[in-house]
Amino acid sequence: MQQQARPLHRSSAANIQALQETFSDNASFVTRDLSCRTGPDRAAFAYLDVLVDEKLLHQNVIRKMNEDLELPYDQFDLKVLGSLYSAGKVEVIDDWSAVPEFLYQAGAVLFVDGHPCVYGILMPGYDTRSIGEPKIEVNVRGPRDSFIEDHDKNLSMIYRRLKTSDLKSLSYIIGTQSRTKVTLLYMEGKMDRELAAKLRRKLADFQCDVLLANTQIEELIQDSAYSPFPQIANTERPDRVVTSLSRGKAVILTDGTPIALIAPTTFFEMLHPSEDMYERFHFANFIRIIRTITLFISLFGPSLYIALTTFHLEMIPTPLMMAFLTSKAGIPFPTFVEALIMETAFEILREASLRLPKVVGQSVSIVGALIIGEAAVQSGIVSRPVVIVVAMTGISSFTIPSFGTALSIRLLRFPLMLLASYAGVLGMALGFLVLLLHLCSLHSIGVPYLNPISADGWKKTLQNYVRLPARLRNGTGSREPDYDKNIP
Amino acid sequence: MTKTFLSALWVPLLAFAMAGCSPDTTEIGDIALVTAIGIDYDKENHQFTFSSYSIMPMAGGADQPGRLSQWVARSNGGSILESARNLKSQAGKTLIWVHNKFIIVGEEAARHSFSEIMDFLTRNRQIRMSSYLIVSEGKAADQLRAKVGTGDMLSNDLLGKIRNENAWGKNVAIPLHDIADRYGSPDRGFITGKIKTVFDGDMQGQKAELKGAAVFNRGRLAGWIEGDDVLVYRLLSDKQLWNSLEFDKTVRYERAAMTFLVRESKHSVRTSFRRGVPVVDIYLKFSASIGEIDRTLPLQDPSVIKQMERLVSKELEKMMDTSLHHYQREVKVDILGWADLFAAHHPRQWEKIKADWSTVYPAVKANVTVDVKIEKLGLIRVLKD
Repeated sequence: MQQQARPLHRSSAANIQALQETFSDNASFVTRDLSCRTGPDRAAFAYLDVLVDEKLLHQNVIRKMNEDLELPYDQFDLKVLGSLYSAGKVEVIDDWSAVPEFLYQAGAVLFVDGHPCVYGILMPGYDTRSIGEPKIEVNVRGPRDSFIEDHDKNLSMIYRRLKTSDLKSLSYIIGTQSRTKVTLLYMEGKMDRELAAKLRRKLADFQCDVLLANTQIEELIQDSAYSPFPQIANTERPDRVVTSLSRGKAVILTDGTPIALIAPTTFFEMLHPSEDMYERFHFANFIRIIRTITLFISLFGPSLYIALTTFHLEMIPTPLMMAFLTSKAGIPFPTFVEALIMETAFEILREASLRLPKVVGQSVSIVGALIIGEAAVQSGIVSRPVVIVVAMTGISSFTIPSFGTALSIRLLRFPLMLLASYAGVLGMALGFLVLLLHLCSLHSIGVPYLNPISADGWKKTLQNYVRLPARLRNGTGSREPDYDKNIP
Repeated sequence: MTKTFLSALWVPLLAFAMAGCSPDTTEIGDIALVTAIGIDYDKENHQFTFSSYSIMPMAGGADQPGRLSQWVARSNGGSILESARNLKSQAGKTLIWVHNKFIIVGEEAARHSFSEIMDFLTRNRQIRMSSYLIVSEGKAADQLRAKVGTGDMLSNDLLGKIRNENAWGKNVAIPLHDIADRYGSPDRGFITGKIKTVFDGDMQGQKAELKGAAVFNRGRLAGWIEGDDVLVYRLLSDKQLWNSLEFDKTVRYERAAMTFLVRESKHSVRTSFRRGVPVVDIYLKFSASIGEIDRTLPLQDPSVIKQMERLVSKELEKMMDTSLHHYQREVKVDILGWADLFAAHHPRQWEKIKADWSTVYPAVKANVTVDVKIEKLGLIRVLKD
């Protein structure tokens, strides 16, 4: 498909010949003469039959053309083009290199003899998944639609919710071979101009052959590639995208990915799912507190247990200590190894249940966890408290709304366990210190990752942690760039 | 950015290099949890005996969880630390002292080498200052071997007895940090709990009983007090000792025997000098409820209640006077710490009497005023014949 930029012939026969050469050995490529009346090679359609709705093309365009050709007056080419223009938006292409691309966008091109250009019309005839319910970000009261693989439908879901001309959408075609459509969305007046310019520059400069998923874009625009923390949020929910846009963030939609990217993002936004907006503020806050606790449990659970039972025996209340003693009697492994075995087993089970078919996945994971946990305890390989701690930690990590953040927390648990087994709470404190320093130095496209942790004014700071009732919330009509105002 | 992150990773790595980090690990499968220790002293041979009561995990059989077993060990040595270290020759497990709750000191040790014991206890890092120091009548080691009535572990049983003392008041458990505070004072004495073994026919052996208190003066055991004397100590002492204490008091009203449950609600101890004589004014307020009456009384009559209140007040005043008399004239130890009160509130006059405090103390005039309010008559108002 390597095409040089060169003009088209005046003769449609030559053009078709050239196009047939380009699409040699392609079974889907179809050329179709318009009519016997026009004579050979005077006007012809070319398209890819798997992408184009052939029925529509025949009924709406070609039949009309044939009828028009029977009319006595007017010239041949005007008749043909006239019926084409009445069928839809026509694109005039006068560069060879653009023709195959247009065909791959589910277009049909019409060659007319004597015209040094082609006339293209889009007639997509392929099927896409219909709009479904969110699979990952499930909620109780919010809207139930989620993005699909089709870029335009995704975009339409956003337009339906944001009816303002302030919403800017810039389209990019990325990938020399995949020619994937990528759209950058942001709201003028809300998004920081510099950030928007930065994103535009980065997207425009993006080079690759095949862009399959937006993780490739994420890799490109994130500031720190080595950080375990995701610096770009992603969502499958249009309502979350709209909230983000209205808070001055940019959203990137990629064709073929049912997930939108949101940038810049801060750490605390990863902890607050859109569900929070749809609940009354008491409950939303309660859940937020629970989520903060579970964040710490999932990060420190096993390491705290290791530190307490191997270094700081005095920190455990005596009755609890006695309970630990009974369950630990006769266990052959040190606590760290026990915890490591169980954590690894847990990760394996989790991964296995993800990869298995949905129908068996859940039951297998539950049975596997029960059997492995119970059998390991019964046979005296691991002690009961470790099983409880690991199970608690695992369940806690599921409450973190952002999948990427949950992954990074899961990963960071292991070095912390190692530190705890080596230096107790001191090691954990050091590990946490390093983690905190890292989070402080992290940026999401230029915005500090821990952004409103010490924002100016108590309201902004407070809103970071709790969801205030509507009266106390900042007005949303602000024209200031307020990307750091991350709670509605 | 990456550079800073990577260089920050060196911080914990450097910490690992610090000596003494990893050898501190103690696996809880390999430990014996010491929950009570006993210290005895043989004056003639100048030998200390150190006993420990530990709890150890024991592996259960197949399909069974582990269980706890108890282990009492004892060893001798020329100093407390030496005897404690000699214990290691008998221990098959790492001894962990941080969960120790009870330090039982033998009578002889308390009389003759209490200063060494206090030095050892306060100097040692693994001994918790919140553990209770109890003096044993007889050898401390015997208390650790005594049978426990509830069948529970000794330390749990003792802890339960200390919890129960708030419903009784005739024993007292003082944590080590309070003793360490008072131990250094040359003027005041202090008391702490007392444990003794009593013969129990049903159990075919000795059982430990927490009752009464040991009186210390000038850093050594000076004697014992029992019964109401301990109760009065608690009522006149710090708030933590009387705040949740509810004790029973039986009085005779006309021909009826009545038992009241009494709780202290207000407490004021004022010191002054009147014509050069140190005076302590004690004003206590109690609330009482009727716990038991053995015949019918016209309780609906407010004047009867008033009379009862006066009666109970009198009885309590009498009880206090008797006990204070006992402290001042017979025990002759300032266990309530009046010396500290005089020194704090009347420093100038205190300087004059400081030197002769041991002779002045028995002559200190104590005025006790008790005010009782009967608040509850119980569920039934009138007991019918």
